[in-house]
Amino acid sequence: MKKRHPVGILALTLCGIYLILPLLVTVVYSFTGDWSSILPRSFTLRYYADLFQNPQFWSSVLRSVIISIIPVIITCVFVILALYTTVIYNPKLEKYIEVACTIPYTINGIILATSVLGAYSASQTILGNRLFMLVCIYCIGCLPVTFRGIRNNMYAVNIRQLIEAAEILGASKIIAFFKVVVPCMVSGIMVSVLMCMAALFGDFAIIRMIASTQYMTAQSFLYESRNSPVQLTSAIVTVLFLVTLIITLSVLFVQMRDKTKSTALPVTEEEE
Amino acid sequence: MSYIQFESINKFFGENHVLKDINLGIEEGELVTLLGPSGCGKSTLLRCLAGLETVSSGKIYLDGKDITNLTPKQRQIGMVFQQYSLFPNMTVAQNVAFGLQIRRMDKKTISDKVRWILDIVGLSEKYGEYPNRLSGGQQQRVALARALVMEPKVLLLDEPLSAIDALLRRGLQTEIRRIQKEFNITSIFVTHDQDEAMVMSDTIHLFNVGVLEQSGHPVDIYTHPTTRFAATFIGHYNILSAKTFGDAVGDRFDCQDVAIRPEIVELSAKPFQDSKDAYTLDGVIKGNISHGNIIRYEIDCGTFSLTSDILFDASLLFNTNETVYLRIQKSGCLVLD
Repeated sequence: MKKRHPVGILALTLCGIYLILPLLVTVVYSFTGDWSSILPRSFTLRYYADLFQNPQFWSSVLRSVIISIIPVIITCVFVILALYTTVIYNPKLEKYIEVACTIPYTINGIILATSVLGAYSASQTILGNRLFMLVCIYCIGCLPVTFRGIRNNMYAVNIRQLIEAAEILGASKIIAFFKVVVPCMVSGIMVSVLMCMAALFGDFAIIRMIASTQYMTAQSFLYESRNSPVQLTSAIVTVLFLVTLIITLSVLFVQMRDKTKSTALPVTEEEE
Repeated sequence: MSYIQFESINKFFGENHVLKDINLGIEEGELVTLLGPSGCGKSTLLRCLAGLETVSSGKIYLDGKDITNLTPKQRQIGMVFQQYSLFPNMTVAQNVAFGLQIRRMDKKTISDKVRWILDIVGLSEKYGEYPNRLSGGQQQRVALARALVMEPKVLLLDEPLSAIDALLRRGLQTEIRRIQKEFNITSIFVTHDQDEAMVMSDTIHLFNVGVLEQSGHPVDIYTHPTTRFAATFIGHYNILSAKTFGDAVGDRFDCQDVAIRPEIVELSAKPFQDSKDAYTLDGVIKGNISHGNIIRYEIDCGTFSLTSDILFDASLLFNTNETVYLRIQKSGCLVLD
């Protein structure tokens, strides 16, 4: 086994402490009651109890989840269909889709939000609806990650050949898509979905700019609670961190499951 | 009309003319090989027959029926791909059952058929395994079972063994041949490996740059190539200018080139006796390559070089720069126009 260098271990430990310390302090702080000078005198669950009994908090978390998941699903459906159609029917068009999906990388979210507001806020149609605007902006923001994830997955499973194999066996392209392609890509799709969801869940700036107080998400709730006791805001941060952690762990779980499946050692020829 | 008939097939990919007026007949129950180098159009012809590519012009008939414009589903053709193309989200049994489920057969029939075909290809114990847990050879046998269970009219094999190591490939060649004979199924095998084609086929169709160069029994093609390409591709023939060779052996040939198989060039350390049935000449060994039981010598004959394949014999080995004597039977010298 390779021996680890003590300097490396020390550097890693310091780095770990540096990263985890703020979070640890926030978590500890959320449980504290009274303070002496620099150390807490007592610990309490009061702030969590207050938070969990506040219906506004849960509805804001729910809103955050909803506003994170809807644009991601819409983007995924569009990207999958667009890529499927181009890969199967017209591969030459793929480079144009790639360019279109990569452009949002170059546009800052705030600039995008400001531009959209300027262009559509006066509209009396659905385009002027703030929630609709928000969903559309999020959809565009998700495009690069979703496109890259799904495209790579599509090539990794070689969908063209799979569809040809399914067609030879009597399936139509639609049946092949739902019975073979989608199940093969589900891990890749999930990773893209969860990564985008985690990013959107943490957004505050765009949602504040577009929807203001009309649609209070968890991040907006946190902002509105800025004048409450610091322990309460720490409790909010801790809960939001846990929600994000659950989303991230789901991504890791899906990735690890996929990795285990794809790197499973094949049986050697001699074992046949 | 043959069981499968290609009539004046042309295929273009943009400006690229990949199949040039192909006319070809395949009889029922035959295993034929489409042989040729990469990019010669053999796989494209196979895909046209499967319905995975459309022909630019021409007709394809199967069992007397025009299938040129039918979808793959309507053609009742089975296919085994080079990269197996097993569905990774399904087990071996689910892969094999896929086509039967599409045909809406009842569960009992599907289960019986799946077990029967997996038994035939020797993979009964892998019933519930996922493809990524199988070796290349096992995956290819699952692909074969998946195609055969549909009881297709024709089985297409698109370089199915090219991703498998040499030892296992030889075993699978025999296995595929056995199963093909057992089912008496018309099969078309695509390969660029001439040895594989010789082992497996009833008939070989040799392709070059989209043109059908020569068709026939493997032995006929090997012993009587009609073109320069056929001679070099399938038999490693020595192709010599008729004039140069004629001058060296004191004979006259009314053709462009003379083709000589390496194995009919006999070598000796002592001069051969003159014979009216053979040409004799001498040369210098310039190199040798061992192919196990055969040693291939490269000999400089002055105005041209020859290769000679000699069965390994410890008492008959020649060193580089050693002078040797050659004898070539006249009947073995083929004329190429």
